[in-house]
Amino acid sequence: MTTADRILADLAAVVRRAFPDRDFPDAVSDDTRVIGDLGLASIDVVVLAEQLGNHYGKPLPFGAFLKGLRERGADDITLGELVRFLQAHV
Amino acid sequence: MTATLAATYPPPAAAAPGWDTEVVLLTAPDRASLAAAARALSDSAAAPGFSLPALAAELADRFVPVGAILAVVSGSPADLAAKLRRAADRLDDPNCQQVRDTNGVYYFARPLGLEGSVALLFPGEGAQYLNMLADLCGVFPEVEETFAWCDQLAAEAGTPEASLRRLLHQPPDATDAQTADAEAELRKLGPSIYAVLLADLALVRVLGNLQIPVAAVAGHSAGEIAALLAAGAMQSESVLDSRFAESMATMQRQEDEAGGPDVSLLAAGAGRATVEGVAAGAGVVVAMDNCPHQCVAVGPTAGVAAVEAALTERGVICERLPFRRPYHTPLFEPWMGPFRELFAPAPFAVPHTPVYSCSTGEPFPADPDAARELFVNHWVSPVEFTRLVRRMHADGVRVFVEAGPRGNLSAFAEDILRGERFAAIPANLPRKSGPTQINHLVAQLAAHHVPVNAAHLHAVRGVVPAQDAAVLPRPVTASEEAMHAYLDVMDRFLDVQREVMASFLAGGPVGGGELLNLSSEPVVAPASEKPHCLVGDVAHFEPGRAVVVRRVMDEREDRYADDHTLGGRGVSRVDPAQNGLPILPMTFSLEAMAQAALLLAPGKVVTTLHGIRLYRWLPFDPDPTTLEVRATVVSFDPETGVVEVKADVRDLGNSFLADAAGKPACEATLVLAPAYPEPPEPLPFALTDEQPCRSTVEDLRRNMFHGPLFQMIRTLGRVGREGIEGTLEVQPRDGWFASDPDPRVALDPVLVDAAMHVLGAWHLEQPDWTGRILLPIGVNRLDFFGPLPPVGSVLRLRGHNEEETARQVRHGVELFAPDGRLWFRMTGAGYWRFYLPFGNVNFFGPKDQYFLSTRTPAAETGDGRAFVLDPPADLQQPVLRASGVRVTMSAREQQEFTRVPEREKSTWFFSRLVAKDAARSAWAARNGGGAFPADLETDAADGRLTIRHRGDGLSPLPPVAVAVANGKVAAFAAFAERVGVALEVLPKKATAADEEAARARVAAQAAADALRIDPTGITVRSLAAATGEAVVSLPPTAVALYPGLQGGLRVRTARHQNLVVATTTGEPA
Repeated sequence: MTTADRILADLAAVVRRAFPDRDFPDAVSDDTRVIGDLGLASIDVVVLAEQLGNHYGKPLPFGAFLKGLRERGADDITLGELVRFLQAHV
Repeated sequence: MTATLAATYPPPAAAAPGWDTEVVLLTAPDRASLAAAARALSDSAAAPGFSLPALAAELADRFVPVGAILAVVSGSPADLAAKLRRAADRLDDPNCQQVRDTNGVYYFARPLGLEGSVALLFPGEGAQYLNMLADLCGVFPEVEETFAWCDQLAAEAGTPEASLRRLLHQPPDATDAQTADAEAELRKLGPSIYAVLLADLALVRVLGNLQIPVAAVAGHSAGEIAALLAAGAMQSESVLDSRFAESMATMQRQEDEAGGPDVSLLAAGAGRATVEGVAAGAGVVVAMDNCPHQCVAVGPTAGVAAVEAALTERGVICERLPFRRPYHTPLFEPWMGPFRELFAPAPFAVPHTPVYSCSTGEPFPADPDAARELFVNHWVSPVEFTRLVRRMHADGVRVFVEAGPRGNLSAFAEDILRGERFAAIPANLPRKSGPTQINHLVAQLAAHHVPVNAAHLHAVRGVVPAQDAAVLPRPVTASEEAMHAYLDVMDRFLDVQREVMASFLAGGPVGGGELLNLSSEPVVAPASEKPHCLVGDVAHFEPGRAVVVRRVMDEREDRYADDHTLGGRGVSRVDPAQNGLPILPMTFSLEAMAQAALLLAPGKVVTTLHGIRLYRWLPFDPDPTTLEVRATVVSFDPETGVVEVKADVRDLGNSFLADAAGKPACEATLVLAPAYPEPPEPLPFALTDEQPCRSTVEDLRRNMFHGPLFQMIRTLGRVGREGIEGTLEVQPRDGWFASDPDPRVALDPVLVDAAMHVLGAWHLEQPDWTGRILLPIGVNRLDFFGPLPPVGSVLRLRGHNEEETARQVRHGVELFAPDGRLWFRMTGAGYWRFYLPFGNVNFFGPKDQYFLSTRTPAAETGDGRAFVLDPPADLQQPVLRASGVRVTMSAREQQEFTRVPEREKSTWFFSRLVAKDAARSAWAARNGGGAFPADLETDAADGRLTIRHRGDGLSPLPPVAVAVANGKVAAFAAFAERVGVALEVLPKKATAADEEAARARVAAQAAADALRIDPTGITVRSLAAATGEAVVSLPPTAVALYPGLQGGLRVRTARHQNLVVATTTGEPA
């Protein structure tokens, strides 16, 4: 299993690469929200999922992940949730 | 909406109070000054007693979109100070091209507002969410008024408790069950359409008061309603009455009662190709192509499940949508009744701002009925949002503002245009408060140099600007001194900018909300001492930003057009005034653009036009048509006062190119400056193989299609491989227009056109005349170095040959004022070479002496004349074909041509053209002299043409026969009782046997044609390979009719290129 720190660093790099014309906070944490704090839209999350799949060289079950979040009533994703998802699948 | 639910609704929620953030707009002469100002302001913001609202109001009041701009959205002085410091650090970095921090810091080194236009995007159903815009009701009166109108409609219907607002805006103490009920209700068809329209209309009113200059609008799905209302294509009072709410309720009842077919909707996180790839065969279709990462597929539930499984297997994120309406597919037709009824009587008008259709991705048609049909049928047609956004971007939109809730369309646009230069800015997001997102919108627009009336953010709450309110504490601290210093510096900077802008804008305010107030205010044309000659009506005018002018093109008024006729002049002896097809000269398109640009930058002069592209001709119709010029300021340099304007010219309909109406025919970028630049040195002009020009000015005139108004060349001098010299004399302008003997011009389009004629003389001097028909397709650059030379001036000019290929030539021209200094330079003028069947045409002689089709003596019998024509592609182009009609057909024939269906026009024209060539050739052989094609007139009867002279006293023309095969035409005319012709096209690689068989077939057909009998039973008795002579025998039934031909008749066959032709006069064998 890849370390959470490594995945968070990967994640930051992929986000900056996927959205090169946007500024993101220098410091992020597990609690940073993808939509609320990073300013991504839901379509951006799809793009990010695609880019992460490309980065890790395999399709990731983002559909099930997001469905689970929706069913829990979540209207945003934290980086912590994303990192844990990636830890489980890469 | 059901009464049961409405009865349980709580009263309207109290509007959330106030502004939780402010937008601070900092402007400075340059980037370094901006960074310094940000630091100074950061220090001031940290001082006790600092008022963020007062500072924001002060800066909003001063805001002018010039220089370097930093825009910050901030919720507190400390937050502002931190953001300003961070922004200043970024500005110090010379590699930083932009700051786009979604927390609210914006700076752009290359602002998009200077590159292109702004468009509004209106979302449709699906964008609604509970409590949307509730927090704007207490902030902007126009939002409150919009929702109050919703209450009013419900009250007028006698059901005030059923106002949609009560569903939308839940009170703070609403229970979870009430909220869930409201959300479920809001997802239904009627409420969803109605709710989003309300929000769209509320926000567009806010945007109107912000005075954002809008060049185009479009809507996604139901968002087209708001788009059409905003653009003036539909009038709000014709749609937004109590019937609207009733229609939405009826649609909802239908959905509740009927249930509809068993369909499901699937949002897939993939592009159309991926979704269609797995949907094929499942009965599932893409109903919405939203962006490369989202499509909505619709189909039978089982099929959708299969598609979902297949996409999920591929890692595509999918989500079933919580409703079963198959909209944007033909399956939605059962719901369409109320919708069609609602909009059928609604008057549509030509919009004051272009509206793009989400069904086609193209601008809505100008015809109101066609626009209505396209709009209504959008509900049963797929949403083509990807195509729409790409087209708008291609048309010059750089800033998309989403005038509605949620922000989905902005995200779609981000996905669609990834990698391009653009901005997509939502006016509303669920995750931000209403006022804060409006602040982000204003901040981004300002940072992109889009003029925006930021003072509106403060006008509605009475915030007193800092200077007047004396809100700054006393005694003054060091940081406040810095703040004052900044404001002083900015005051001086802005004072200068205001003067420049005031001059630039001719005293008019930017914007004005004309587009967005949903009422049709009359547009007032800017005043001037005398309008420029091509400025008719001003249809849309934003001083200093954009203008749309229209002018009727009418041959009776535009007399210059009769001297600029495609197809030439002197084409009829009977009617000496008959000329070719009048075409708007390219230089008049440039003049029209220059005149429109001068409306935007009055007091300046047009110094340069560059990037000139010609996409099609603008022909004059027999009935007047309308020319439209659109011009938009793309940049303004306050230091030099230079303005750049992008403009295009189009006609709003013509009878030649139905599909081209409303599309640009010519475009260019114009540079306007306070004064003309100093003329540069002339271009090198060393001539290889130099010699005096052998062609005379008269030769030149005969070879140009221009009439006397354009004939300014006076002498032709030395000529060589690289170019030619000559002189021209500037002619009076009193003959251009019927009603204006002294037209006001910007460039003198006739002079510029005439200067190019020297290039015609250069081509006459070349040994190879193939492809000598030249028409311009674009020009790299025109530069003017002084005011118009006086009428009567004799100017020296040089034509430069820059480059030649088989299909194009590129030329340049320099024109020198009487003092010898360069006055005008054109470079990179591209001309398309047209290859028309004029190989034997003697341009020096009268046009009754040559023929446009090719004589084939081998196919002639007796004194007959046979001609064939394989119409070249160039001559089948609609405008060139129409010009051919103008120079070869009589007035009555021309009228008849206009009534011929498009698919039959070529056959109609070319068959008559070749018939006339054959008939006048045979006639001239017998009578001497010549006849103009336009002086002959054809009549069609019993499937044959007859031809007669238009003039009196001339001996009759011979009978003529015409044959058409695969678009090729052959005609045979002879002074005989009977004439017949037949034609066949040989296949490629035809053998001698193939040709012989073809000759036999056409021989039989020609005999049948001459005798007007069925060819069945006609046999070829002999066929001489060397001469093509054939003898054909008739069947007994024909012999009974023609006993003199019992022994057969003679037919002549011949081959011309890949054509086999047969002719006969019915001579007995």
